[in-house]
Amino acid sequence: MQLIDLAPLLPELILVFLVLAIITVDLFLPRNGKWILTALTVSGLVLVGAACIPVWGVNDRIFEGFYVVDDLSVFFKAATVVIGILAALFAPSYLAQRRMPLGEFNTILIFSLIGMFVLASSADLITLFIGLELMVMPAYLMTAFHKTDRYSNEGGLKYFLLGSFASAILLFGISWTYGLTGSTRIEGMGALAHAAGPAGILAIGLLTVGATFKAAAVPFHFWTPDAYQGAPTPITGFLSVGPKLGAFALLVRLFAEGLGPMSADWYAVMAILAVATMTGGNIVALTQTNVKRMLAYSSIAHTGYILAGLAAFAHAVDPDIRAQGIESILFYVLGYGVMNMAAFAVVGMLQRDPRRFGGLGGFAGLAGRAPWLAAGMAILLLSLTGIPPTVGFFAKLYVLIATVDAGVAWLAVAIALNAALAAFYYLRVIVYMYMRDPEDQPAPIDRSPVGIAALAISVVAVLALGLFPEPVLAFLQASVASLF
Amino acid sequence: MGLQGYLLVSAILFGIGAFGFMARRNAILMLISIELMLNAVNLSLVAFNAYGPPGSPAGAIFALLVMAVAAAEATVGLALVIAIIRTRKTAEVDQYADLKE
Repeated sequence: MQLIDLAPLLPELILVFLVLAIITVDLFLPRNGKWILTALTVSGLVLVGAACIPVWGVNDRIFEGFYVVDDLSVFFKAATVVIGILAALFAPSYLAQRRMPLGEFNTILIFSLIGMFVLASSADLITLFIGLELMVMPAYLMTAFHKTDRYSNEGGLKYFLLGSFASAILLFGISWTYGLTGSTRIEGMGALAHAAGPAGILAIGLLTVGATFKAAAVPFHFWTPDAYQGAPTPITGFLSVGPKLGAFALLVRLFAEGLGPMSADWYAVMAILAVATMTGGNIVALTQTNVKRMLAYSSIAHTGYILAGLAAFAHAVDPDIRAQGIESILFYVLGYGVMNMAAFAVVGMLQRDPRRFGGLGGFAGLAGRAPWLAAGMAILLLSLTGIPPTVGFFAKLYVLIATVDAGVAWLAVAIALNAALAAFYYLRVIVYMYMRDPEDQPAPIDRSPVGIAALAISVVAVLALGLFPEPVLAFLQASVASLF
Repeated sequence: MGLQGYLLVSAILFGIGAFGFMARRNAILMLISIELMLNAVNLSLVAFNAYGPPGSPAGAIFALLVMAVAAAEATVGLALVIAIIRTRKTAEVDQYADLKE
């Protein structure tokens, strides 16, 4: 037996040691020294990001083919690190005001990130499932993190019950895939095409339901608004982008890599789900007066736009256009990750008073009270709407180009119409911020320097990615190339 | 009883679990229903392994790992149920209706 070369696992190993370090250091810190944990987490994550550089271009399978370190997985890992750093910076002040422990938060966060890493690197259905569970179980706990708050408990339990139900369905699909193909390898899933008949359809159906449940696609989205509204707001920001990134890593691995050879069979399902998801999410978001819940529904709509990229991949035949579909998914997930997380963080900053739940009234007259915060939020909302020169515009444009090139122009029309619909509820918040008078006793604003700094970084990133997307696109194209 | 028999039992178990999850309104019974579904998956995995291509224990190993995941899931689930019973004094999920439009 030869020893396994652990060098390609460097980022994962650093994450594991980071968790152990956080747990240990937390034991010895005095109550007023907990900020060291945030510093430790962020510097550790920066180190993990740096460790992603040497594994770029490795493109190797380890652990007898159970684990793949290809450029696609490195992209997902780099995006995960960005999301993790933002989560670690946005949360501390909100948690401290409500007496929630920072050490446990950072520990659970890093565990979830490890799950996302494993999921992104899985070459086998066993690894995929373990990574998925390692990602979502900490997410359930984070949702219910405010133990004494009834909303947080409720959101956590609902998320847990429906999430586990979906995991069981996905797992049953995986089991049937294994039974029909005789292998648990993802690259062997294409053999399902030969397993025609009801069993093959059952397997693909169960996989589709389970995976789109995790990505919160309509009609499997009903856990999303409750879980997102119940969770502590900065954690909602993480939930809406972290596990979503993981869910799309899962979809890309399962459907693009595994079932890619038979994409003509599942194209129609994915396209219908995409349109149902963007339309359903947007229509319900229109009626919300609570900004936190509105952003929860709008995150469903964004899932629909990203699924359209997957449908474009499925419909195209030319490998270049198929690659473009996957690239549009990855770019959207990254851009959406930064802008949505920062938007939730702003909602959290307006909840300095714990009795505030993110109502639209709290945004009234924000431009007069905190001009910089209002300007930042306005940029984030414009980006979520998809107005240039922000990353949101470019991400939508990329999905549009991918769908048109793949010959599914009707999907592009659906996206454009939905973007117009979404503009209404995003711009309404901007109207409240700039054109309404503040409430009689406006909520105090949380101005913690760490949170403001993270917000500034996010807003700059949103603008920079929109103005100069070329470096990221080059990175994307190289990482998707490893898939084909 | 061949492979089909095991798969039939597994499908029935999965169906009972899924039905129980949707019909029961007690959080702990819903958790038990999910465990039933996972056990149905395990049964199908080991059956596929036993009747599948010889020499590869992938299905049996998968079943062992699913058991470990199920145990972790039960732990997380019970912790969440305990936390919510502390604030609500009930395990009936219909009573958990504070989060809505």
